[in-house]
Amino acid sequence: MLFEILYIIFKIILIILPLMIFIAYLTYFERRVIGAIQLRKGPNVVGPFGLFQPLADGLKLLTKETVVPTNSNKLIFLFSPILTFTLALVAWAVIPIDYDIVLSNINVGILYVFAISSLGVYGIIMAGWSSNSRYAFLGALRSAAQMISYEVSIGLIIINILLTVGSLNLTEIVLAQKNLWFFIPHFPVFIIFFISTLAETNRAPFDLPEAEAELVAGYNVEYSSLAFGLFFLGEYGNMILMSSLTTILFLGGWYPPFDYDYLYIIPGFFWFFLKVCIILFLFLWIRATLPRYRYDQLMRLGWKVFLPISLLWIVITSSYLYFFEKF
Amino acid sequence: MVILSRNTVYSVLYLILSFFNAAIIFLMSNAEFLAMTLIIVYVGAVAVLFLFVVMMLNINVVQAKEGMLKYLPFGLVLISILLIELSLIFSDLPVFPESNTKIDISELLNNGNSNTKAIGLHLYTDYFIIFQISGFVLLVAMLGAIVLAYQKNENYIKQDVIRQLDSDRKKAIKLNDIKPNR
Repeated sequence: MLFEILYIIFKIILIILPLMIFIAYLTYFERRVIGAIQLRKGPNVVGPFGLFQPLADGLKLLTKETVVPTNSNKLIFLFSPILTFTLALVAWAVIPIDYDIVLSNINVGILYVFAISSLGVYGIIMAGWSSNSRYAFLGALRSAAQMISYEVSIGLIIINILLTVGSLNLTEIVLAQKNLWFFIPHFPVFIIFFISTLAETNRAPFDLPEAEAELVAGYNVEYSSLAFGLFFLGEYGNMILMSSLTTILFLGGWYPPFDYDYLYIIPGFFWFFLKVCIILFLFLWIRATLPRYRYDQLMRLGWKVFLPISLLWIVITSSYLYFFEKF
Repeated sequence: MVILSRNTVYSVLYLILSFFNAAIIFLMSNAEFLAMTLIIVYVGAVAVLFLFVVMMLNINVVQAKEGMLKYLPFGLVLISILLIELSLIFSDLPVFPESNTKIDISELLNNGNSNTKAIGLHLYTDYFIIFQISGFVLLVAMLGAIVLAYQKNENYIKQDVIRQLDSDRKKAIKLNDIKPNR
């Protein structure tokens, strides 16, 4: 019994540690990529090629003083970054990085991920409300409205995948893509899913919650030091989570791009990592290229464009399955 | 705690906690699909809207305090009725059956199937009409809300996105040939 618990804790650490390193280096990667796109150098001073920059940033954040505003609701103020960070980590319990390399292979894996990501709104709303500041509150409201709207289309797109696979288990979803990755038959919804994940993680061009020009920094204005660090880690963790979800749902998880035997020599988690990195690069590329959306345009895109298309796609998928595959 | 706490935002947060407890009860009776949908629908959507409304309205705390004693007897009556009903239900059953404490819903519904499949099968065959009617009730509620909230405003300027994208330099700029000194 004790040994089992220790084994599970060991596995959890085995997931979380690489994830934290990945998050840290994602920030470095982001600054380097955006620097390259904008013809700058990016961080290159700390360590060789600036590789120790994330560590230096982390240390700086750790050693700063945590400022709690006097008028804030202290309990909720301190709880919300913890909640955001925890939720970003908890969802990794069901993500299969390779065949059978997953902490818990539950039946309703995709629903679990969806539930956790829909809880992510609370961290933001609570942070915005408890800091008792107008900027933070406005940022939180915007962010919450945005996340709820785009969750609808994400949910509908997930239904398409579930219909084609016939299972809610993430491992089975990947196994069903051995011969054909789902982004080929489901190409329109793949694009919509990707854009919705951008909105869901509050990234550019949908980073209205932290529009620097209007709202200073959005829901996390009042946060400093480690509390801000946790928000930051949570946001980047969510980015990685969403890209791995895209990989699992559309890009065939741990399968190599072609079904040749010699490609299977390279372990599955490497392919998984590669695909996640490609999607993350797309995230950064978009951030460096596109201007920010206006708020009404954002809402219009979510409700009037994405929602009808994904609903229509469900009708198409289910009729195809009904008439041609005889489900 | 939902009704006792003075701060309305705390009340909503406690409400979310109680939704979680309900979800965990579902999980313990092996109905993981129901548990997840409960969290997605109630916690992820409904409670967020509650929280929105509660945060926007600044409810006076002193005013909220006053009504407490007035409704107390009514609440006590309701609680006692519920308790009596519960005790009636559980008096027939042994509270902790020795062989099997968990009620396995998936086995009750359909042998061998996962409970997601069992729920789907039952909902779309045995309870199909009720399912459709509930969908219609929701649709009517949604339409009603839109009709109630919609106000026609003459001063409201709408943006036509297609027209905006359609315009080009020729349409936007008109060159007038002004003859000077006339």
